[in-house]
Amino acid sequence: MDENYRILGLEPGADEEAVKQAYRRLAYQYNPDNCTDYRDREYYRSKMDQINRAFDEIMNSLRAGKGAYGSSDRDEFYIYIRRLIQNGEYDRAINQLSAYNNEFEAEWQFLMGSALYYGGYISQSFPYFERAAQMEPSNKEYNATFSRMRQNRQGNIYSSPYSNEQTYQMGGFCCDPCTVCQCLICMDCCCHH
Amino acid sequence: MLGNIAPFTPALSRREKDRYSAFYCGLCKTLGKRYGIFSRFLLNYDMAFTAMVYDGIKGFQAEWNSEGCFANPFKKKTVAKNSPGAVFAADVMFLLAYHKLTDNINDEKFFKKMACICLYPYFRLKYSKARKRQPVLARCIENECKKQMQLERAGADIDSLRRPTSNMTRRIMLECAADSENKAAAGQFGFFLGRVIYLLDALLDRPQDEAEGRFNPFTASGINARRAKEECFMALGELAFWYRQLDFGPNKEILDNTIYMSLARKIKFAGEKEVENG
Repeated sequence: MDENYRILGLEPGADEEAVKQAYRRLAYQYNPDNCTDYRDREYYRSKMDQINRAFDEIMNSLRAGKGAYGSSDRDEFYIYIRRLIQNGEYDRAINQLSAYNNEFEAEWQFLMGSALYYGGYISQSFPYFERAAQMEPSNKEYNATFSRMRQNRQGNIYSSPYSNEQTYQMGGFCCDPCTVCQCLICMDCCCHH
Repeated sequence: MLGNIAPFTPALSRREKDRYSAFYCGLCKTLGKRYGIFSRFLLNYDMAFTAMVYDGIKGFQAEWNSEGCFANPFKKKTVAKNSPGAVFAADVMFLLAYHKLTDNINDEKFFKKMACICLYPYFRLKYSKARKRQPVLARCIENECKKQMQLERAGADIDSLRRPTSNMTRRIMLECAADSENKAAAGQFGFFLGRVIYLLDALLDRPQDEAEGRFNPFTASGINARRAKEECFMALGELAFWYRQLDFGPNKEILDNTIYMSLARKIKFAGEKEVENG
């Protein structure tokens, strides 16, 4: 049990609130989908497994001591939804969130947006991310995600090695390719493209 | 549908233009060898892209030779020889071309329909050959094409409509990354590549489809021109995310250009007149 607290970076015997905060922080840090270098993804994934196991064991022991669910069912629910999304169970996450339906909370909006986005319903996810960022402007996670999506939507593709100017202001739309090779053959015979 | 996934050549360096040319010529030669002389006329940019992705992921470096050109007998071309990417792309080309032909036979008007029917026996023969070489891929493409037709007839929403194309391209990319540790990322890359192809195709064909009364997913979903472009850009952003997870070796520069510049330009300038060279 001490080992589990150590994995979450806490002193043994920390309370439920501290455990949840630590989990949220680590889940954001080690989310494999946020990993830019593909070589680190395996490491992030195994680290997430370790963190999830430690969190489950601590929460089980705390709950066993209390005999009933603690006051923050809602936070546990959101942590559970994040786990579903990380594991690729997007449809299940969407169903659970729809049933819970607490759209006045920014976290609900953000998680609904995430589940829709990773499930492939990109256009439907956008308003949820927008609302989450508006409800909690100081939240870095919501803002980073929303501004990345908004940037992409405006045609300024996130992480492009070219600036907007390079991409769009060079004149001369390259000859619109036909569906057959004759275009390329003709061009090659007549002019060197 | 074909020919959108090509680099924006004015922005490529001379060396990369030659590299791309070598891949294109290598694919042409491979097609001639595996499927006969006339198959070369079906060569397109999308298949050159597939060949580059395949070789890039596998880390294969083709040998470059100087050979004669079928189309221009007076000029010797640099050819990327013996590339497994070209072999794979040749098979995929016929798998996809056959289904495009059958789609045309069902959807097109009289004269084009007749022309397609005349070509059918040739395509059927080549398709059977490609099918033997890539059985898993062939089965997947058949299923997805059937699903696509059913969804279009039922008037489904745009998110469902683009799934069959995405599933096909996902399968193709999974084959590219078959023995690699990045299979999952490659699958997602393929999935979103299909999404971009489908949406870009719908965006570019929209004016013509509306004029001729043909089905267009954006029109059917009631999405206006500005929102349609936003959809395409968001799909491209997602594609770029998965593209970054993969390593394409020496082909990276051309593929960067294709994804970040060429596709972005095509979306932005869809429906607009050509810009004068600035």
